[in-house]
Amino acid sequence: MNTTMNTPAPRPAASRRMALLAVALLAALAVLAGCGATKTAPEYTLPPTGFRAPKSHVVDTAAVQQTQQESMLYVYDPAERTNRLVYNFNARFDRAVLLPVVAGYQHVFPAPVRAGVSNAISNLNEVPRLANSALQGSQTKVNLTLIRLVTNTVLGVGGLFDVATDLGFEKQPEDFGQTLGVWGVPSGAYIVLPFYGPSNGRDTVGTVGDIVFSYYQMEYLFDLAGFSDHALASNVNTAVRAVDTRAAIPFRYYTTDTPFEYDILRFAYSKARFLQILD
Amino acid sequence: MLSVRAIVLCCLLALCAVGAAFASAPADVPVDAPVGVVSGAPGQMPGYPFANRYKATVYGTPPDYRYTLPAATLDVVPEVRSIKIAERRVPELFWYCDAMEYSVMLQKREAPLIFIIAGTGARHNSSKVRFLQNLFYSAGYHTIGVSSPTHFNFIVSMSKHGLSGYVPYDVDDLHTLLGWIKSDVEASAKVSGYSITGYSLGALHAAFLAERDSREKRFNFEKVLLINPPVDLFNSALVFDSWLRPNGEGGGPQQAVTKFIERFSEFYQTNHLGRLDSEVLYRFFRSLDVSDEELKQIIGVGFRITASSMVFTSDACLDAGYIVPAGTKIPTNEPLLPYFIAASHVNFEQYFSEFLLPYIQTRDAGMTREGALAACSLLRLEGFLRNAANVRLIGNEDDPILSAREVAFLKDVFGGRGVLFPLGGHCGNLQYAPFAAKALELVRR
Repeated sequence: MNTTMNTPAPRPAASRRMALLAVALLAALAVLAGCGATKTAPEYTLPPTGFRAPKSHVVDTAAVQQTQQESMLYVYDPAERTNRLVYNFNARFDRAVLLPVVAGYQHVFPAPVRAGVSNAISNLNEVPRLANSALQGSQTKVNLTLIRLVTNTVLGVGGLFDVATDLGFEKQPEDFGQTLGVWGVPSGAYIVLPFYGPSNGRDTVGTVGDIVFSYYQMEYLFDLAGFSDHALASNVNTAVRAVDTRAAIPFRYYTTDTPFEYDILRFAYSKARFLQILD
Repeated sequence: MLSVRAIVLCCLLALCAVGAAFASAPADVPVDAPVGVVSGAPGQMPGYPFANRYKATVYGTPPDYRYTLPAATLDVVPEVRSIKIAERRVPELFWYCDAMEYSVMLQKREAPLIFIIAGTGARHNSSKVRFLQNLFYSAGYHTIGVSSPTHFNFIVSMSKHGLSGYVPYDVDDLHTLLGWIKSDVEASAKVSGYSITGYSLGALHAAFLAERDSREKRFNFEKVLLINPPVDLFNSALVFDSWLRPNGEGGGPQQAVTKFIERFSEFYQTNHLGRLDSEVLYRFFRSLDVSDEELKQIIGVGFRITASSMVFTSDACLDAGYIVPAGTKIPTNEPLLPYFIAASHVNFEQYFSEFLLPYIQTRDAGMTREGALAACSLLRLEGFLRNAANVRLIGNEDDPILSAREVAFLKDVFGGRGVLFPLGGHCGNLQYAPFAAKALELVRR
């Protein structure tokens, strides 16, 4: 069998240190991106055969609209073509930027430090959770969230440790999208947001609300802490939150074992949000 | 297999993602003892909890019953490597999987290597493959997880014919792939010898690879372990298809799945779950009251979803005009649900007689239906299997994909080299401690 492995291109004739650095970087990237080899195998290039199945189940375009809506997986998604482009962009961005940064973060900082960061961010988010619990009119959630905020801020050293969960006070992951849902706002069309991922009309408004809330909360805290450079503090805050959020989500694009991942994720997202609003 | 369980898990995952509420379960979560458990002596593993073969197949092994892997092994994350075939024609739609991926766990010193072939539609890092990789890695093996030839990544990036489901072609591709992996691995690790295993359809592939290797001596497999193999691919596929009754008792497949998801919604709502993990999932399963009929529909749906992915991908790669109109270049942003629906209406019998067989006949004009079916059955390997001392079998007596005759065939052919557990359904008890320990023993002894 004619198989050869492509060797890497020769190093450019730059200074030795530059070359070494480049090699080290490449090695690091190779580790992150996984090892890829290329094989030359002419009989495996899948040339067109001209084969046609003698019987066809080709989609009847006229009936498509109807059959779609009967499907269990159907979700109202009028901007699907745009959404799929954004989905592909998110997948590429995830692969090229977010996951490598998360991997670096996990490599550099030991698990206890990352848990501390995660807990601290979560503790800051108890404030919007408290607001949303109140807006949803749930006394239980308000109480639990208040207890968590106080317990973790005082006993958990400013939120670095999640003592409250250990004591049995579970996090109430309420956001503004859910609050709108509780108020009876319909979900609207499915939308894939750049960077954020799956959403819908209602949750997009909710996400904007959450961002605005968080912005003013952090501005207030920066003032309180006496940071003069708000822009810098704000950028650091955004970056840390992004990395921490991605690190906590086990989802990886294109690993659901089906070419219909977009459809299944869309269904799962819609179902999951529906459940969260019920709870 | 992309089962309904996978869809529920997907919902869980989505919940985690949107709520960022992911937290691992504390160890002290009380687990309700399932009804009908035969408890062993104190300190011993109780019997496998699901006496119903369909429940076993859908629910799997609850965490408390699982084989305990050494903590040090759990920290080792398999490295994903890939092989890309130069100049291969890959439809634009599949831009993200144009290279054949596989999972690698290498020991630091010289060690034997075991290949693990995934079951129908499963990926090299599916939970079952991952478990087997960890299991054998902890026993000192280099381990390689390989996706099933029925997985769409395999069809897109590796299948010589751009289709899957015909065992001789699939085994041919696997043989080529394992050879490439062998040379790649040997460049970076010392391998003292090769073994191979696989579960479900992957076990059938492993048996065919072992037979071929007994003639060609490329790998000289030391041990071959078949885990829950079908005896006859076609028969087993027909069993799954026969379970999908559009107008069965209590409604068709869609109703069964909808009920499953509705029950999950109720469960989620009434339990005010702050935490979502496999523990919660098993509590949900135990709270479920579903009939055999419904479970069979759910398994059937899972198989059909897997098969649709395979049918659609094969058709798109071959441009055969079966699901996708001939000559269509599907752009990356094209809505796919209509194709998914069309493909999910095709059963395995149709796929075989309307797509696979006609294709095979373009390559081999004399091929008959009977000949093609026989080529996909373990019966063809009977003579080899009877006499191959290095080939072992582990499975379950109540495996729903096997007929009584097929169970008898396996017992007869493997004799003392085979172990059948009384319970476990189809791969339901793979992670069950006594099953996993026995699998390990069968490869090592």
